[in-house]
Amino acid sequence: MEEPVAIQQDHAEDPRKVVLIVEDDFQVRWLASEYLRTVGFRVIEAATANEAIAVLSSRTQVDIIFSDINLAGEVSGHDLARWMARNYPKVPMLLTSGNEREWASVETRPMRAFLPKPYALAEIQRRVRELIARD
Amino acid sequence: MDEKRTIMVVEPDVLVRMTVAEYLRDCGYTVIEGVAASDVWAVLESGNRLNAVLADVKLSGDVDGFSLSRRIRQTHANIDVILTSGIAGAANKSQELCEDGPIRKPYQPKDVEARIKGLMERRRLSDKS
Repeated sequence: MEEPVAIQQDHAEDPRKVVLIVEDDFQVRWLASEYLRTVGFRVIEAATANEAIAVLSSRTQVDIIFSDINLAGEVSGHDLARWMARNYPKVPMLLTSGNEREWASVETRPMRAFLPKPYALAEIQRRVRELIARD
Repeated sequence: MDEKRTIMVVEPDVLVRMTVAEYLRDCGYTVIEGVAASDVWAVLESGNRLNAVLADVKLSGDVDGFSLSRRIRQTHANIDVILTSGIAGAANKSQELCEDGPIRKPYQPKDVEARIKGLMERRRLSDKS
């Protein structure tokens, strides 16, 4: 008789880890959020950098931010990164953009990483885990 | 219940959306979060099935909750549309969905409302400092 197949719990993320996604493109945000929930993260969705700042200002637990650089509205991902450096310097940020040159203008910090678009969903999980582990 | 039911929460205020969506996920629903009417059409046009749309009367973009509701009823009569207004409205309507939901509700709607107000107060104090 075959052994029962183990559920892939070893790949499930610590449910206490919260990812704040900041992405103005609904379809991209929806897909990435659903994927990260499927692999076990708690996910908060923000459509703009101002929404992300509202979430953080409400003292909601956030373990990592995954943000697009080119966001709709007055506040860009770069501005959000600078705001984070002043207010929450220990929260890691994974920044993304379709323009790889954007990475050169991201302030170099140990808690920052860059993921070029288009990205594979599994790559978000890998990079997020890597950044959280640095904490 | 044979399959997990999907609710789309369309709410432009991130603190309300985040709290209501989390509450409904705790009740066993699959929840898709949107801020504008166009987000609902993007979901429907991609072939995904929605059982209900919980939308605030005020939305981001040009289309308000009333127009969204009318259009969904015309084109997708099988989708329940629940319009909300304000924090208390969103909390109460999410409770009704939860009462009817796949699993027992984990907390009371007044807690949803209190939680949103608490988050808003903390944001306000943070903005002041």
